[in-house]
Amino acid sequence: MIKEITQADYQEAIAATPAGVCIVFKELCPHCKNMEKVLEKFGQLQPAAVLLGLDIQKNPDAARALGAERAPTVCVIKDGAVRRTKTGLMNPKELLALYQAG
Amino acid sequence: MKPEHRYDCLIIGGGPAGMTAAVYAARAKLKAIVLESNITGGLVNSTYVVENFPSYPSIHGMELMGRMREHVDGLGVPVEEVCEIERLELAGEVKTAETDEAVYRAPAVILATGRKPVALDVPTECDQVHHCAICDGAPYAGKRVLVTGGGNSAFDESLYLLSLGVAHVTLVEIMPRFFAAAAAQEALFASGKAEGHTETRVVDLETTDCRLTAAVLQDVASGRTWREPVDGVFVFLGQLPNNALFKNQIELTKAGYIPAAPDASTSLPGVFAAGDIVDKPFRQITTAVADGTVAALSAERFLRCR
Repeated sequence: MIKEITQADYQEAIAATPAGVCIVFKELCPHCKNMEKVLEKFGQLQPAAVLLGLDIQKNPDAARALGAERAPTVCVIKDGAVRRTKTGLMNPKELLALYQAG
Repeated sequence: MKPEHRYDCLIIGGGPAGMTAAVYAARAKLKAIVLESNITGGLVNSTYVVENFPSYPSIHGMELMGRMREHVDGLGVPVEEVCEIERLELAGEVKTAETDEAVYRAPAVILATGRKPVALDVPTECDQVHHCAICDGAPYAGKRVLVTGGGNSAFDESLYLLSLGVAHVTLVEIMPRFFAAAAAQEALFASGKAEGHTETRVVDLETTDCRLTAAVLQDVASGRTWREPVDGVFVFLGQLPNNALFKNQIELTKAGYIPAAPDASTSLPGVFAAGDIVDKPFRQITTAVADGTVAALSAERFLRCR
């Protein structure tokens, strides 16, 4: 389950996340929809990981602060901070590798 | 040990052809499943506006495919998305598709794998090369972009980029003329924010600190090259058939498409083909839908008569 965050609460939400992934997405973006499915499968592999989502169009400043210029961008969160970001498509295994490397 | 599932029919691909096949398979009481490596919708998802699908005068591509998905879901056909098929065996009476999560077996398969965009062949790689204006166009508001290709996709997406506020579009086509519909060409060039170059190709990209600064273009007739300052490149150079899963198992044309019979059958019994992967002169959503219909009805007949 991906919890949507906004400009108002993204800092608090990330700071409260010991380990997880935030996807920066856009409405009507096929690659973003794909990555949402990837995130769901990733969540099954890593049930303890917190899954967050941020709409880049509604929250451009927050997206920029997370280092996301385009959608989809995945931000790996560890110990309350963004450790890595990667833009574009990846499969669940690649996302898992990015998450574990972070 | 992966779980094993048995079906009447495996539908490989969740674009318009595969989703229509799922509708007809369900109505024929076949136990079918759609296996899709991406999300359902296929290339239509990347189409900003569809204006040639009867019943919807104008609809966003993702919205249209979302409605097809709802239709399939309503009929109870399972759909596995982001499903990586590692092995597909089409010979024999029982066909097998092994994904990263499960093994699926069925006596009939419908191949509806579609096509994928041709990549830009230049020596320099950078993150500012895109294949989807809907996905990646917004950051280019106020900036200059290069669009490669001279077909309908290139012109439609260029118009979409201008609607996002892109300052200028340079469109290049290697052939002597553009092939897009006349209306789209007129609309783009009437904007005053676009210029087109035929018989022109992209030979390289220039970057500074990993960011695109210019494209190096070449006039193919004279060989003259010049530097075109741009912030992003959108590539619409056509499509290649997605045949990697079965190219050594069934008969293909030289171009890699499936020469399906009018009943959608292929060179292997029980294997049917539908949509853009089929060798045919026209590839539209409507032709894919028709192919999916024929493939599912033929699969049902094959299963009933075997």
